[in-house]
Amino acid sequence: MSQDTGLSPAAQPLITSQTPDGRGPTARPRMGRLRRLGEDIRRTPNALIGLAIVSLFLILAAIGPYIVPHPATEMAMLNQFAPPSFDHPFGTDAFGRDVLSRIIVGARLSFLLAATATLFAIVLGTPLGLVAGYVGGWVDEVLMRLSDTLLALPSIILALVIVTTLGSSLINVVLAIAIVYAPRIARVVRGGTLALRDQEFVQAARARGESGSYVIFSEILPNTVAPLIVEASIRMGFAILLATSLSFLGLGASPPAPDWGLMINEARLQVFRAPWLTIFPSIAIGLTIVGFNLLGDGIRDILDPRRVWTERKSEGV
Amino acid sequence: MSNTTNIAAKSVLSVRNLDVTYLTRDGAVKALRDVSFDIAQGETFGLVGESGSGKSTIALAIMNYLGISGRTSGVIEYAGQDLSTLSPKELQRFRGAKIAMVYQDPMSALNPAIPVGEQIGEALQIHQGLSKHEAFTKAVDMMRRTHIPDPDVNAHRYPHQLSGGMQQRVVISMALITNPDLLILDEPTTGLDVTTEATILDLIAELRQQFNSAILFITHDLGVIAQVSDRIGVMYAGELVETGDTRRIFRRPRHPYTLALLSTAPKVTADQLDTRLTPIPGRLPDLRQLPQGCIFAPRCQFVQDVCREAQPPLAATDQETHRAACFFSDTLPLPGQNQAAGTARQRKEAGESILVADDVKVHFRERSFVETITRRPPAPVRAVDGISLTLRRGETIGLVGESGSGKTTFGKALVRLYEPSTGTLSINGTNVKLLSHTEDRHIRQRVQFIFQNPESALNPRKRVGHIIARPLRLYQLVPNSEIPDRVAELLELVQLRPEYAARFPHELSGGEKQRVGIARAFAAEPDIIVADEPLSALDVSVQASILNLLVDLQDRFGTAYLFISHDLGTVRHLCDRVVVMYLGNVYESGNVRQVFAAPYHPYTEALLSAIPVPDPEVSRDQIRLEGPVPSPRHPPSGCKFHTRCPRKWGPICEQEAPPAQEAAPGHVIYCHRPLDTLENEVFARSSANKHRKESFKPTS
Amino acid sequence: MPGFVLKRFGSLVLTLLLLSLIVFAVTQLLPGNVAQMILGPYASEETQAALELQLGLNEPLWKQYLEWIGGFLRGDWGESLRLSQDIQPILLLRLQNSAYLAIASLAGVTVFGIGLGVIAGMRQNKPSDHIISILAFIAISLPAFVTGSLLIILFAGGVWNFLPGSGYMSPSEDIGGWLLRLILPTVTLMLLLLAYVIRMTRSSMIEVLSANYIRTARLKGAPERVVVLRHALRNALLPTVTVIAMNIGWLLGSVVIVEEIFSYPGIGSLILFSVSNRDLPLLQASVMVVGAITGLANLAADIVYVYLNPRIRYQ
Repeated sequence: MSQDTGLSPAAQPLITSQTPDGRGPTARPRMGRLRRLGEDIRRTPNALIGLAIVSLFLILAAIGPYIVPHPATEMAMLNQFAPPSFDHPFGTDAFGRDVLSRIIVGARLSFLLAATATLFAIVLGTPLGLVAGYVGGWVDEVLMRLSDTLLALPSIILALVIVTTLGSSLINVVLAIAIVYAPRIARVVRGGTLALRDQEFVQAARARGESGSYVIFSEILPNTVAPLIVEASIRMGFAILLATSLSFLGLGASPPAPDWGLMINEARLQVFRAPWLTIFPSIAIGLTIVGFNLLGDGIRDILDPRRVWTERKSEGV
Repeated sequence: MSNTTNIAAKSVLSVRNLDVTYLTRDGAVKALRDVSFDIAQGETFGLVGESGSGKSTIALAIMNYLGISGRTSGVIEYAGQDLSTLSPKELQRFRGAKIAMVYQDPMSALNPAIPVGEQIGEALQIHQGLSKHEAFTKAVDMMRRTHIPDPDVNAHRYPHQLSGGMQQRVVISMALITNPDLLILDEPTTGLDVTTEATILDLIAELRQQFNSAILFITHDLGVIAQVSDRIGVMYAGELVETGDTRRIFRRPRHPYTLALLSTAPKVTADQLDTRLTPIPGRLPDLRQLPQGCIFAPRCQFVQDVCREAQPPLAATDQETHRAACFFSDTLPLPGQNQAAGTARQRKEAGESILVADDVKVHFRERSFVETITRRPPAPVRAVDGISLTLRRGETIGLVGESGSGKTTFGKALVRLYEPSTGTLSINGTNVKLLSHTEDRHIRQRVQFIFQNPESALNPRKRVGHIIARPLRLYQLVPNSEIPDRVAELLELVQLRPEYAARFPHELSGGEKQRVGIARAFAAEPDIIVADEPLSALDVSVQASILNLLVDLQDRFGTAYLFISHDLGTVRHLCDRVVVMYLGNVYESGNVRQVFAAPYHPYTEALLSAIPVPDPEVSRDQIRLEGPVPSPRHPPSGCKFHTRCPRKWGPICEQEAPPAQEAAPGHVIYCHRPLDTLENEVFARSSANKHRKESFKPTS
Repeated sequence: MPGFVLKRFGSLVLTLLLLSLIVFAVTQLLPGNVAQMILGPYASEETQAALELQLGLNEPLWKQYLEWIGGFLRGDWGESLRLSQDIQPILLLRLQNSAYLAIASLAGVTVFGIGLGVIAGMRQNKPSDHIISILAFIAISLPAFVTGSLLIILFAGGVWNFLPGSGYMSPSEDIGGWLLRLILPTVTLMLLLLAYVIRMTRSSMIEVLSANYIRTARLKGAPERVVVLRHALRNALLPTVTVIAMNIGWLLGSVVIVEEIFSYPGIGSLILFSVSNRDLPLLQASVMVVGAITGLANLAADIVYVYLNPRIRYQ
């Protein structure tokens, strides 16, 4: 039985649509790595679309406040619940604020929340996973029991409990998401480490008399970077999902912050009167998460040495 | 190239001008080009070739199972019908009913979720409309014919509950249950232990007599092909380069590639100690951009200008049925003649002892945290169970045995990937258990390891230069400024160009990777190198060059080798002394000539007789070990070999550990049987063997 | 097999003990104590001290913990601060309501998830596969509160109006009304998991179809129907079935959001209530119950996996 019990769908890596082929990597012809990468990306439309969406999101997060048609918190009580128009393409809300501007400015908040949370989770989970997988024995047992405990609660509920304990603030939401995802990342890294630990190049290092830290950081870690990038990308998507869910429940961001989840929460009372208040932030959230998921899947496809395009097994080619 | 009408008349399968191309993202791979052959009823046609030769593609092309990217042209005629033109529905009537296949790696060929009896019988349900129950009953009968013990019980088992040898018997039963006209065996013994391989080959030989199927036997192993085939075809880079009667091809190969293959592998029978092997230089051409002219020209030692311009046809040699694709087939030397160039190796006298293992045991205890608290620990796995051995400077000891004998574990204990549970290990006179940190590193430098699998022995994220430089840095062997020069030197030492330092492992071929592994080991300037099956993952033509390299380096640096191998031919070629292991213990040891000649330990005798010899004139001995190696967690009492021993002496074998008997100075056999009877048995067997051979051979 | 179940059960107990420690520690971390919360900010010091004594808040921590966990195991789950009632009956009632949602979702996920996943896997790279895969990909990227809100706009008033968008009706009251009010929450709840199961089944199906034993079956002459039904499905559904069982716990997490959107009185909205009202005993009890159910579901997943997989069953 896999040790991944208790992972929510949101926590488990999306399984790609790959056909595994029995053959390992065969010596690729020597060509520029960048050219190869470029070619790989072109052959992976998913990654390309994902990259485009994520780039758009990142650009908005970077320069959003400088390009918006209206300031995100500018109220215009006379113009409340204006349906989409030329001046307000996504309409206005109960305070007459421009929804498009709020969504654009909100990108930065979502990005900062998700990125820091993901970063924390990786920084926290990676060493734990490496140590658990490499050292094994009781260290592994203890770390895995602890992570089992955190995984015994669905991620939303665990995050709720943590935010309640620490108090509702953006920083605490970041911490909560990091704590929720760290054991999941630790498990992914541990799995990779377990597979690598018995590889002969790791045995070679140990037989040479290399220190444990050299083996972990110089031999094993570089080989977990690729799966970690995939994990980070998909995890970013889920961090946004979790963060917006929390703010939807009223934890984390507080009004008048242009937070996407909060916007949908505030729109609930006018769901029939002004559906655009729900629809446009929903699209923003869905699109961003789709982008990160596509990118993660795409990177995985590119990095997967078993990847096959059209060829079936052909001997030694 | 289709003038083989004389045998086409009674042929079961007739392949004509078969081309197979795979469309890949890097271009069209011409996997097979213009391949033609016939197989007659009751005949076994062997296809032999290295990986990349296209031999398995032929099997899949016959089954019309090449996948979406495979493109076929040519004719594959079975019973007057071209199989390559049939619709999937029509194909179903042939597959499994008329043409059946046995695969490499039986574990993956069997469905893990269905009992084997049902899987065997399934073809009868499909093709003959039998009920599930009837099919199952027939399956049990079939299992009996393939000598699966307790077929009634085993038919209900799942694949993973059976040993590898039994799984392959199941796959064979599955193929034969419909009594097919054509049986395709694709590397059926690859990956099995040599003792298991021998019993499977026996089974195939026996079934050949009972069933009148035509057989297409595909393998990379010249020994196997020599034993099973009536005729053979030699494949190289997607072309059939030579075909003809088996005996003739082995005696008079008429294609330089066949000739090179035959001379490149060390033989277990012939005494060719102290001679160099002749490797085949170069590597397989890129099947996307084929060179003009003869496909083998770039690697051929007899190449002429014409070979690079025109492609030689597969034409008759001095015998009509023996064909070779070479312009100079009538001027080629015979095997053995072209090896005059080989120079005798100057063996140095072995020096003082540098590694002493005294009663070393490695026992594994696996238990989890919870089990430690709650339960009694399970019995330990006795992987190595008391081994004493002395290795002297500059000598080579061969460590042989089946998988599960503990030879790799012992090798890894020498570089202390496993700490010995008991016993002492001294290197250069220092007990390795009592070392400080610096001393430990110093001792580790003295013993280096070469791994079995070059694919996984090099960190895929590091450049070759970095990999080789690491021991230099770790042991501070040269100043940092000189490291690049030293790396270049080491690369040269293993015959790789210095530019290779900038490459990543995935840019190297298997043989090149193994060279890097060797360079890394020698970078540490060790006294001892433990080499764990360093050749087994490589193709035959590459093996010889690696073996030569190891010999040269030893001659140059006086490094002692512990050479772990299941390949007795290589061991005989390379080693000074041999140690035979079974279930963690030594059962025979001595110098190479002693161990490879009578008297034998019964286990050594069985190992030797199991080896398929690449010479169709030599008949196979009949000492067979049935069943798998017992679990090292609960090894048999007394002599651990007694459960499988074909020469069990008496009840004493089950009760007491066998005594050491010295057959000659330095030659020790651990057996209860008196030495003189071990000798007598061998003589009796040899003569019986001759007799059997005469009566057994079918008239040709 | 019994040894395995026992071992897994042992580690579940260990996990839950650890969880209870964490939950208990959380309450200690919170500013102020239960006595304060009960009495509010205006109580005198004396009354607070008296209540602290009565509640045992002056006892050493380990004693308080043992007291609490002992009571919890005996069925004494304490009293809600805000509802001023025994927690157990409320919690069980809410749990029952949530169970309706979870079971309905699970059934939907099993039927549609496996069905669509198998179809997509068998028709890899054909139009039907592309449509299923793209829809699943979008669904897996939408948080429940987004799908829930959109479904309300679509079916409960914004565009069409034929499904109730909120509320609850007991089945004993009106079985039709009960079912009707279950539809939207159930669909919202199952959408993400459904998408996940589809993707999982699809890739597992593709992987199995490229396995060597499938080649064996095809080259045995087995018709495609036999290849899929007899040889592929058994092996392909193994991970899927396990994943479905494993995600019962996850469903219990999502009900928090779904019940909030649809104003559905389940354990999710109860947890949210206890969070926003700082009702600690209620939160502790709910979290422990959710943890126990998740753990048991995972245990069930393990057992199902072992039972379905002969490779492990007969070791």
